[in-house]
Amino acid sequence: MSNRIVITGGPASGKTEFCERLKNIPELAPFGFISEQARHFLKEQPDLRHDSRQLHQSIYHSQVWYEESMKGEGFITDRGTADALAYQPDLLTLLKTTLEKEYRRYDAVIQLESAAALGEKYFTGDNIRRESVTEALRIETALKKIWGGHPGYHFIKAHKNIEIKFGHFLKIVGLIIRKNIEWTR
Amino acid sequence: MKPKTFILIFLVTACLTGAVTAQTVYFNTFKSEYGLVDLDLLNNPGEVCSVQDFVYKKDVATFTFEEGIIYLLRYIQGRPTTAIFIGKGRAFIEIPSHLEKNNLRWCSRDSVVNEKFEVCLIRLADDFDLKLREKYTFEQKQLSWKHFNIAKKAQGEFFFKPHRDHEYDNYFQLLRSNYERREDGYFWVDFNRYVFNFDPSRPEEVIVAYEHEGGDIIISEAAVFQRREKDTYDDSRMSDITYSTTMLEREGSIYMGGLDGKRIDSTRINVRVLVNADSLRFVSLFLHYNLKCDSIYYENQPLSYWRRNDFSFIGAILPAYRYKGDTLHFTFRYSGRDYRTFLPFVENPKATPHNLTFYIPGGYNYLMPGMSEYKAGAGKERVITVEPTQPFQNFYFQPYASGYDTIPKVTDIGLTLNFLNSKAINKNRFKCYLPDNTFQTTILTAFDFFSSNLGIPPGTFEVFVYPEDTFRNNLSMPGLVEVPQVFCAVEGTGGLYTEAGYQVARQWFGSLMQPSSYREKWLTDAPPAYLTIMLLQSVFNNPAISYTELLHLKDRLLINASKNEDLPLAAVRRLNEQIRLNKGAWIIHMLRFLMYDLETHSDKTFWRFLHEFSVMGNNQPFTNTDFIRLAEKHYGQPLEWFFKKWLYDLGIPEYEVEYTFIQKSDGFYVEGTAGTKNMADDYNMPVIIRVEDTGGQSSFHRRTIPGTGGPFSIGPLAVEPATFYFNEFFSVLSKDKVKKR
Repeated sequence: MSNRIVITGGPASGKTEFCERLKNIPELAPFGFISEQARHFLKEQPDLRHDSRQLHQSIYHSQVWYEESMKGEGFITDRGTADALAYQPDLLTLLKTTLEKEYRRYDAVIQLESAAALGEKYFTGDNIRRESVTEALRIETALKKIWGGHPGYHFIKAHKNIEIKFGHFLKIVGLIIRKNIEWTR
Repeated sequence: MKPKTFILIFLVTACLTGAVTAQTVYFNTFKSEYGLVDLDLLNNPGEVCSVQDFVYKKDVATFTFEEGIIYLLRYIQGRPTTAIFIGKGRAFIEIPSHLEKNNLRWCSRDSVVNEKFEVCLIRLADDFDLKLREKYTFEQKQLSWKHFNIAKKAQGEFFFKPHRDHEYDNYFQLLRSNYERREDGYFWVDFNRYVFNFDPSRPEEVIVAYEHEGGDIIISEAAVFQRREKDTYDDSRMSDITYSTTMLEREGSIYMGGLDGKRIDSTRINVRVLVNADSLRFVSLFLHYNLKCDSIYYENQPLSYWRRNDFSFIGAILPAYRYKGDTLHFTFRYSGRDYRTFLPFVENPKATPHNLTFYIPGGYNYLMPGMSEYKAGAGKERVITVEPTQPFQNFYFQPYASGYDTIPKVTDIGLTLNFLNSKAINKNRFKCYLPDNTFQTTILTAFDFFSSNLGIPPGTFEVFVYPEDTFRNNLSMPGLVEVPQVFCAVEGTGGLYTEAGYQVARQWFGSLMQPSSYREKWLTDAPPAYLTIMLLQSVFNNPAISYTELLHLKDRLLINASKNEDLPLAAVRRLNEQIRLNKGAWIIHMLRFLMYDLETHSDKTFWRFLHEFSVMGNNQPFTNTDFIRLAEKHYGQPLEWFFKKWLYDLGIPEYEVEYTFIQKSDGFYVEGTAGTKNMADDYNMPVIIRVEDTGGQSSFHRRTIPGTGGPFSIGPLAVEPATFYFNEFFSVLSKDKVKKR
């Protein structure tokens, strides 16, 4: 059974919101949840924003630590180790790893398309996220390039109606874990 | 009524009438001038002059009118739109694209046009007449009977006259260019068996056409490419086509009816179209010719448009010029029986979001992606709203009447296949009826095989299997598999799996695919065609079944090549569908064996490649170049040489191999030479070779045979070889002659 799932995507793609919703679904109770490391680091140490290499190295190590602490149990993570490569492409060399090795950490990857794809008016930033629409789309393309080769990769298009996008997302999660799951508020 | 109110109403009415009248006058003028395009050549005003060594260059073509006379005729807006040359002339056209040069070679058996002519007929809306006037003095004169007869005998306008098989209405194209007459305007010329057409309003402006067979009703478009200034002649750039408009969104209501629920009674479809051209007033729109267009509104006002009977092409004339970045809103109202291509479209194939509401008659059911639950409508009518998450190039739906049972089956990945069971398709009515169990097992097997290698199909969470009593409909969309339940196949030969496999594979490579242009069309057909062969290999222990199917495709290709029907795959639109499928499937097969791991006999890399292509192709527009880059990424080496041959060139390679077994001090060797034919020098194809030793053990080897041919060697081998198999797994599409020295 596929039980190590990455939820990834560019800025304003709904990763964090969707991961939060998944936590309330009974069928997913056996899964551990790993929240986004970048968000955590930037909140705690805002100065790290100015040292991209240091930031993404820290994110990578922290991500690995959290995944290993799951001790073989299934987990759903908001971003995976390879995400850092979209922001810091030389990380593979620095960390002496390969994309293939990073792929093997996960059974499935779901990339959510950023709302930036729908145009300026659907794209909103927050205190942590400061990218422009163009920057968001650039990051998204880089993520696609990095994760696209994963054998369990899925891509979910953005939609003006977030509920339709979430329904689509939930069905993909259901198919990955081979269970029918439903969302009730 | 107060005088002030009266004056106000009068003024408003006058303004409105003026606006409408102005448009009507413009359009009425256009309509009457449309009639002039086909005006009789005889007994109408004309001018004539004698010419000598007059050279006219139009894009990539050079016409030299060495000696003779030129008539100018059919004046519209004060300028001639027809010219007839009688005398001695020469046309020279060098096709700047390697791909299109090959297309011309297929059509006319020559890759350049270098023709002497004695008569040529020209339709023009450029400055050809002005260039002539700069050099020669014209005399007012009607076309003489003698010259009329010469022109008629040459049938110079035969291929210009609009025909229902034409994509565009030539008269409209000439006129729209005449309204914006300039140096790079419309220029169409017929000489001998050739037609050269420069149409500034088409995405690919230049067409060199040839009368492939004497008596053709439609001339064959031999070479098609963009104008010189765009410089998109490298094979890798042929798909970079600039379109004057892009469809942004299609939304609206569709009222279905008819005895079978397949008739479109009426529609109100709103489309938003983005202007990419610097400016435009004439817009090319398309609606399937089976659909009768009742009206088109532009920005809520009636639109002036021109559409010939039986044409999909609609020439829209906007009330004023619009500019790059503007969005045009059109509302179409139409009806008819074509529900397969039921929405208006533009040349640019970019996928668009859809938001549709279907009003359907009682007793009928519909299948379509992203559909809502049925809601009650007026009377027995029901309503469905459709807002799929994915954009579509072609949005399909399938209506079906009541009387179907639904039998759900769960696949290995947990996705439900709902088999629709029709009472009308049964063994009493059809001799070749497939029992439900056989039918369902075949489709489930295909689904499980593909999903185990390609993952969850994109945009699908529940699939309906719709049984047909006819053969291959090619209607595919996320959530619908159409497979004939009436199929005359001999059990154990794989025929059933071929059909089911093809249709099921379209869940991964179907209507969600987003080829950037028609030149990528083969990539939506080839993977399903080849996946059926992999399915046969997986289902049957006997490899002869899948290889027989593969070799059947090869035989067809060899027959096509011998009959001079072969064309480069990237010509697509001009390519026979069978060649497209067969050659496409073989390309996928060859890629599989380039990526095949000979040590572990694993297809893992190939499946990863196909999976990534499925994800890419279903989520973003892709070009042939994107596909090539992806293949290179998984293969780990450049593949330009491979695709140059198979996408952009003609002919089936041939190998003539001689080999011998030699014993040396360190072991046994197979040594040989390979002669090559029909391939470029840089076609360095790795061929898989199997050597069976005297103990019955086989070893597999890959040897790159250069396009120029040359020696090869395998060894040292520990055990004496007994048999040598060149091109094992049929890893290369080629004609092989193998002989022991």
